[in-house]
Amino acid sequence: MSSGWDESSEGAKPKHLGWKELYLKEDWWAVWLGFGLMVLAILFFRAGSSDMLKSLAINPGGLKWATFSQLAAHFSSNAQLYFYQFIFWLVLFGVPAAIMGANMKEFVPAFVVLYVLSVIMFAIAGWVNAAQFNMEAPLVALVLGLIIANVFPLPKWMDSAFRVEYFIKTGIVLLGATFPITLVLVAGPVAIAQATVISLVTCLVIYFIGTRVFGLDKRLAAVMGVGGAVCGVSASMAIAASVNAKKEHLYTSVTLVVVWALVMILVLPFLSRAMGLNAGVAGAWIGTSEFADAAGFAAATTYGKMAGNEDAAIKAFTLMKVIGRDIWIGIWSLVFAAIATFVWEKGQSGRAPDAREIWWRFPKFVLGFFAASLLITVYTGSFPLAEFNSAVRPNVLLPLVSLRTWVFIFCFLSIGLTTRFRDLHAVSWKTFWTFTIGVAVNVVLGYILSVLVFGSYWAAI
Amino acid sequence: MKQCGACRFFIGTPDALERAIPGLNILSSAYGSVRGNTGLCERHEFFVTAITAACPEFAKQ
Repeated sequence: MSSGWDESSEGAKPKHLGWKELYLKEDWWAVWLGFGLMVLAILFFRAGSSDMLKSLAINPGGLKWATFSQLAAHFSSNAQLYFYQFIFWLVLFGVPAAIMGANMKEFVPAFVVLYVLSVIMFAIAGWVNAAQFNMEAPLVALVLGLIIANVFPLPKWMDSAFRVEYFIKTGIVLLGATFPITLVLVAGPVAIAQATVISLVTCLVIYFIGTRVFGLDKRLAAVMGVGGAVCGVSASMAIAASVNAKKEHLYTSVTLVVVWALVMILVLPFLSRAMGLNAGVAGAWIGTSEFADAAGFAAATTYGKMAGNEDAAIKAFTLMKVIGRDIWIGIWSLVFAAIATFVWEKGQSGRAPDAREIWWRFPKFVLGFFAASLLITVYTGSFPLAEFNSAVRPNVLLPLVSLRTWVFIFCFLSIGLTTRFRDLHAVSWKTFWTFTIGVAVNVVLGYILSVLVFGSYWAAI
Repeated sequence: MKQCGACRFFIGTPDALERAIPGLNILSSAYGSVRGNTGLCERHEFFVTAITAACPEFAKQ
């Protein structure tokens, strides 16, 4: 796979990927795939061929089966559709993966496993008593994945198809299909203001507790700070070069973020239910509490299903996390580069902060989300309400929701399947408590703002 | 000016980075935009970018 680096001579200058990013980065593939599926849905609808897309979106999640024979009958009568669907997903995700450098001898068999497990997840979710036993698909996918990865010797090469970020980014672009741009424009600024306050406070708490109380390396404290306050390990990676972080600093961030993210996927939905939170309010709270998009969507989707309003939970979460936090990652990187260069080690850094970092590190999949939201708002706005409800919704939006659900299930399973606890590096008690205090402040402050101060706002989402 | 990205100690490809940092792919990815051109210096075991000015231990790829 081309790295994009010019290696022709000594002193050669490596370049940024430039246009190659458009086919070498997951973010851009999420845009092409997600937006492409949306355009396909609209084209099929206009051609009167929506049944084709609906067939590709088939899943047993809505069956409400009570006996195995009912489930078996569903698969038996739709075996050909499931086969076509499997080929559809394999090609859709496999071709870009190959272009990005994945080995197809590893990707294909691993994807077969992922698809089969996903069908099982949907089948469980389709059980008539699933909700009674809290067997929400995201939680079941996560737990089953964790059990498989940590009990059986799942080979590392299978991670080739267990691509958490690839799936969640594509899912978020597809989410734009049910997200009116007007909501983004109206609620976005509120989410940004709330998320920024919480992120700043959390980052400062982790940084100063880490350095002043526990005497940790500034770089480690910075990496943990953005990890806990902005965007998990992705944020830690984004600023790692800006502060010349050491390899073990990122190991620490990985362990702490993964452990706490998993805890919160399991705890936050049940805590929200115990407090009887509105789905939108809980979605906003999860949006400031969870570190990674994938973990947050798992928690928000779970609670949304528990509360009977998945749409509100996911919308509030997306506003708070993707728009309120993710898109600012380049700025955090720039700020820390400036601090490292001009405050910590005056004149000793490799290079001065570069404002272009804001674009280079911008999570490009968010552009796909905005584009999808704009397209669907413009397209559906041209239909009278009656026709929208009778024709557009069942033939364009609902199939896209089902496709998105598939992609999210791929993601949630992949979180579990890639989390091998034995591979995580041990952390010191000082780093553990630094991060944990930050998590506590983050969660409590998020609760105060999402539930007590802005609760009525988020409840109306 | 020599830059880290041209050095043989620079780990900058996504696959190699994910192998070098176990667990990176659980809730993140080396294939994402946010990584930019960040890579790992295998010699000093800290993170740099491909266009960071190289140190005296630069060795051509």
